[in-house]
Amino acid sequence: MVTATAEWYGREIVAARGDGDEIAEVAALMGRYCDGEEAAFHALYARVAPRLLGYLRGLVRDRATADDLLQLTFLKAHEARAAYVRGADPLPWLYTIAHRTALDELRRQGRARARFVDEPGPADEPRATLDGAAEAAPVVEERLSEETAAALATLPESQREALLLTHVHGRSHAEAAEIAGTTPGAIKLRAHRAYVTLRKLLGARKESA
Amino acid sequence: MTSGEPRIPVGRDETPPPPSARLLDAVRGMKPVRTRAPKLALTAVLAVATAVVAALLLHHSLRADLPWLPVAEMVAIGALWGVGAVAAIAMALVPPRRQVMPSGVRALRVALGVTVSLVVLAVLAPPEAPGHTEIPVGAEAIARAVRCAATALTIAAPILVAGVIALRRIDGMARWRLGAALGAGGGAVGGFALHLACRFGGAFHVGAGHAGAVAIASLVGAAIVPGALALLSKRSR
Repeated sequence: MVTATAEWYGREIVAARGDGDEIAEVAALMGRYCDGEEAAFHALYARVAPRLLGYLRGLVRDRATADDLLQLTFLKAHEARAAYVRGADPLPWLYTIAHRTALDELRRQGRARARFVDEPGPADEPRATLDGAAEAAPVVEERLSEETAAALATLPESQREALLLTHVHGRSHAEAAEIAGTTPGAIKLRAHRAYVTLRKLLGARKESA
Repeated sequence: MTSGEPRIPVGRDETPPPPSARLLDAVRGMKPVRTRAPKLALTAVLAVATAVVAALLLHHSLRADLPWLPVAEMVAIGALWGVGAVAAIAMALVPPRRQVMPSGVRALRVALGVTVSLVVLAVLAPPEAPGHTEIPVGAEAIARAVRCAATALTIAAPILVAGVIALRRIDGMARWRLGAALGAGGGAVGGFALHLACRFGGAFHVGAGHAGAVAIASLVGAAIVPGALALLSKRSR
């Protein structure tokens, strides 16, 4: 279970793939939201917006665009909330909406490739806290290094998507496949290729340094 | 992850912005919505399928060679057509456990499996009663196969429409896959109806005219369902 503090970060989800309790809580919030309860919307937003923002920021370059896309994602989800199935985990569905929204935006901007955010974060910003099972989950790099960002930027968009969804956002291969509109096998292959390429690139840079 | 592997960056740690004024406005005025009930939708689409098959049988009556065909074989083959139809339609409409959207990958796999299985079944085991089942040959075989395929597609059409209505609120990346499964399901319902109504036999006729319609309906579903869903989605907003 993830405990949201006053600040929520995309990074939080790196260590916390939703467990059964969390899915049930988010599903309950979504159900109350569909019942017209405004407070449930705010609670749901607080719970999932950091994750979606983290994902969107991985796909588009700047913070402002990611913020806009986040609002657009929630607006689309609001309009489409009647599509929700009670008791289901709304996160993969919301990721799908975010993914499509980001792709639409990238197409609109005429960008050939999605790029990673390469701005450094504020050094003293506090980290969101975790408790329960999520704390034991694997810890991933917390700060985006320039070298890694440059290496990631060279990856094809499909490989970056796969890497983001599976390694960073903790989605299963099946979920990532549904979000990206492809097959689990393709996601597995893309993520693996991305990982191998990344390792080679970072190794080469280390040697040349 | 080991220390020797690249560590994947997450991105900047920043608080998401508060909901925008537009989003807040939308939320403030919201009313309760009726959420999707996929199993109910499946029941409704299967009811449409049953009604269409019943209508066809009332109109055409049962096949003339039915009394001479082996009952067990007819029941077994009919059951396979029925199971194929229900499986494909269910995959198109019902999401995997705890998911909101039906799985396009799963639906496509089932659609392909059902299509191939039914074609193989039709070619290898077309129900025939020697001396009673008509086996068309030559140009007539093609004409009869086309006619049966058209009938199966006509049966598939209302099922596709009902499926599209059931799926109208979904949003996803791969709706063509769901369309393929819906089409395969509709085509299999058509094949099931022909299994009971068509007096013609032979591997070519049943394979091309009955099971071939499953493949065609699947392709038609994949081609038109995404557009139909997009149209319905636009109109509902």
